[in-house]
Parts: sequence; structure tokens; C-alpha cells
Amino acid sequence: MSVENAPVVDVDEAAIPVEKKMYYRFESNDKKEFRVSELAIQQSETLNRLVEAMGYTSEDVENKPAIAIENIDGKTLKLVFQWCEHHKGEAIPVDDGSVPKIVEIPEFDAKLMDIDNGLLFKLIWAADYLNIVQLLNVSCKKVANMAQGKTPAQLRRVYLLPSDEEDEAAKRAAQEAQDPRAREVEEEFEERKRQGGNSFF
Amino acid sequence: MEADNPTLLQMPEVIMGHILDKLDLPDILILRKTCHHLRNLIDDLHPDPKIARSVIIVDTDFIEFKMNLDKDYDWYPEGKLLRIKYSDVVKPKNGSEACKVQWFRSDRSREKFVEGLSFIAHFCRDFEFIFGAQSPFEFSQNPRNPSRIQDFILNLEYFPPDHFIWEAITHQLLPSLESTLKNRPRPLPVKEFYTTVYEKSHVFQILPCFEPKTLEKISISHRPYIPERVTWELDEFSELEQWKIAKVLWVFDVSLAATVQEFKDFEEINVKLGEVKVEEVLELKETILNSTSNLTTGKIEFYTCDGEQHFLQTYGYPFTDIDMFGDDRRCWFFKIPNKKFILQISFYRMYLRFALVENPPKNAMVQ
Repeated sequence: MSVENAPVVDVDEAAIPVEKKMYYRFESNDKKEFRVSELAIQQSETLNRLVEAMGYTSEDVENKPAIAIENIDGKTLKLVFQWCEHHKGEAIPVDDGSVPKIVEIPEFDAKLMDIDNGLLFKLIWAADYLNIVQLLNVSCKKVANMAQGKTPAQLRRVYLLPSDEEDEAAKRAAQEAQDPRAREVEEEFEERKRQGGNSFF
Repeated sequence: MEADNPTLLQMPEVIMGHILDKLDLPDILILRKTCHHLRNLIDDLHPDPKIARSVIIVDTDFIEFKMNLDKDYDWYPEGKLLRIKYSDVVKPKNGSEACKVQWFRSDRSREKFVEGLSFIAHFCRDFEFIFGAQSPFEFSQNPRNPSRIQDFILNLEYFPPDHFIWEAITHQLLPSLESTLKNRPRPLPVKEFYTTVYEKSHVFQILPCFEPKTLEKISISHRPYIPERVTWELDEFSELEQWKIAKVLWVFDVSLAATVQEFKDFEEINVKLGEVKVEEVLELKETILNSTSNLTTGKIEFYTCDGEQHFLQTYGYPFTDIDMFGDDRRCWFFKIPNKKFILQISFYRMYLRFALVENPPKNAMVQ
């Protein structure tokens, strides 16, 4: 079932309240509606706090309007909730620095994130906004993996970064703005260029 | 999110921080070269370099600089080992002298020729770039898990002092490393420092530059110019914070002008002393038995020691056997009051060992 042709999307079949499971309704900024199980919502610190504060009963969920998430579109939100349903009940990593941050991308996540870069960056932004720690971890890891072993030119293509020429224009604009720091950085940049970029780094 | 098709450049700083956190050092540096925005951003965010081990091997005609980004020993990008070699060569094209820099990689090794710079100067510049005051990187200071380099290894053993390069090593390389490390805003956090040197002064140029609080182990191997007995005074060492705080001390192939007691603040030692007197061994025993020494295990080499004779007369016949290295030893065992451990002191021909053991051999006598 695709988001585009269905007004209400059950991200996870198991979330349908046959067993009287508690779930919530959310609405994206393009008016797509999602039903998400309570357990899945716990993956998002932001949404979890929100629903706790609202204290809805099952009747409230049906009778009151869906909770609006105003700055995330339906396409992105679908991915977010699919991820949350798949990983519901899993422990949320605590970033207290006590464990080394080695992030593996599970197969499900890899498939979920097999999307274009624009959508991937939206997903990252949403994971950060909704405070879904592990989704933020794996999505940032995916972006990081794209960089591995590349040259600057390859990276510009991967990440759609400005070319040298475009950069030059930005540099001129920065200098015109009389930002002393920008000029300092430029001079160093130019100096390294003059030295022939003779470091691998 | 405003943009319909956002790119990396539109990510807020906090997200860039997360992404940089997951990038390896070379990828961050390459990313830094792509455009001004990212360069400024990376320089502002100071990502953690995540270097597990840094190895510098100096030979007569090249320097090898290796950085392990974790315990993996496969070459980057497949693995996490960066291996770069700097050497001086004559360019085949025009016969001019140049520095050749090779980066050994799993995909395709790369090399560059740089004119007008010696291989030592080139290495020093790269070292400065990674570890110096202007480095884009900063080791995390998270109080619960500050990041640090597990092993920092500086090996100077492959160039003999009578080689013409000696001058460049002692007057250019070491002072440059020293000033790079000294001018950092924070001392370099290193857990274990291993070095092989010809002179004591070489150690003094580097060791005091490390963060004392993180340094747990100091290992120094001495290569003498000519095979003869060399003795180092301890004075300058024992004044160093790094020396006072470290737990493990290994010093090979040079004897130290010190008594055993001077090492009582370490937990483990492996040192060579000229003459070890029985009083020192007895004091070592007493301080371990009454827990006034941190020492738990060690090996002390000596030229002479009258300890074994005294032990034989005082504590009776030893337990004799052959240790795991195949050497004959005579052992005495002493119960440590209020602890489950037993102190084992073993005499060999030219050294003694001591250790805390839980279970002494069956027919050994415990004093």
C-alpha cells in the first residue's frame, strides 16, 4: 500500500488494533496519515514525550485529529515509522561515551535506506528532529560509508558539492563581505594549492 | 526541512557532527578538500581523529608513518590501516632530487613526487598537520570516555649514529616532532608509549609532550652505539609527571642508576640495574607484603646480586623448576597478609622476577 493513494497508512500490519494494542495517529505536512504502535513510538524520544504529555485514550486517538508533524513530509515519515515499527522494543543506545561507537547497518535498514540522497538527508534530518538515536546513527553511517576511499572530485559528485569554480565565486563573495576569517582561510587554501597540494591529505 | 532535495551542505552542524563521527580520518581530510564550506565546518567542529595506534619508523633513507584507525591491519580503504612512506629519490624524468611519498592502499597504492623538500621535512609537515596546533582534529574530552591513542610508537633503531642522516634526525626530525607536540593546545593523549632510541635525550624530546594523565605504559629500548655497558641516571626521568603516573615501565638494554625502591610507584617493571643488594630485595618483599608498594610484578636484571645467597640462608631451600621460557629458577614464596595472593620471588642467573600468584606449586614452601 503506498502512501500516495491511501489516506491512512498502517505502517505495520501488526499495529492494527485487533488486539486492542495502543497506537497513535500522526499526520505529515502533506496530510498523509500514519497509525503507529505505542511501542514503535518509544524509539522516538520526541514523539514519546509528546504522546505521554497528551495522555490520549484509545477513544481519543480515534476521535481527536491526528497529531500533526509539521515539518516532515509523508514520504520521509513513512520511512521513519517503518523503521520504528521494525525496531520497536529494542533498547535505545545511550550516548554516554562509555562504549565505542561502532555502527553496523542491519539488512532491514540497508534496504530501507536504499533511496536517493535527497530523501536520505531528509530521513537524517527527521531522525534528528524526532530524536531517534539509532536511526540517526545508521543513516549518518550510510552517508559516511559513501565517502570511503574517494577522491575530492568523486566526493563532490557523491554529495553534490560545489565545484572549484562555484567555490571561487563563493570565495569572492566572502571576500567582498570583508569577513577577515574567510580571507584567512582562503589564503591558506591558496597557499596549499601553490604548494602543489603535495600532501595526500 | 525546507528544501525539497537537500544535500550534505544543508545539514545542520549537529548532524554534520554525527556524520563526521562516523568518518575515518582520511575521508574527513578528503571531504575537507572538497569545498570551502565543509573545510570551515570541519575546522570548527574538530572531529575526533579516532587513531588507535600511531607508528613512526625512521630508517636511513625513509620514514614510515602508520596510523591504525582500529585494530584492523588491512590497508585502507578496505581496512583501517594508513601506511605512508616518505623517501628521497632521483626523479627518472629529469634527474632532479625529490621526496617520494607512497600511500599503500588496498585499492590502488598512490605515489607522489615532491621537489624541494626532504623526506624528513615532508613527514614532519604531515605529522604537524595531523597532530599539531592547527590540526582540524581534536581528541574527544568526554569525561566518561575520553579518546586517546592506544599506542604511540617511535622507532629510531634503523639508522646508525655514524650514518650521514644522523644529523638530520637529531637536528631536524626530533626537534620538529617535539615542537609539534609541545605547541598543541592540549598534550597528546596516549596510553602506551614505545620507543627505541640511541640516546636518552631522544626520549626526553618526546615523552614529556604526552598527556600525563592518560599515559599508562612507558617502554624504552636502548640501542647502544657500541656494545658496552651504558648507564642512565634516573633523576630527570623521575621528575616527569608522565613517569610518576605511569603504571608500567619497561626499559631494555641500558642499566639504570637506581635502587629497586625507586620503582615502587609502578605496578609492573622490567628494568636493568647494575648491582642489586639483598637489602633492596628484602625491602621490595616487605613493601609488597605490607602493601606500601604498588608493584605486583616485574623483572629486574642485574650484573651482581647477593640476594639469592641470603634467601637460601634465611628461608631455606628454594623451590626449583624451569619457567615457561625454559630458564632455571630458584623460587621462594611469601604469604601476603589478609590477601589471597602469594608473592613469588624467583632468582635466575642474571635477573630476578617477582609476581603475585594465587596457587603456588604443590610442594613449594610458603613462608
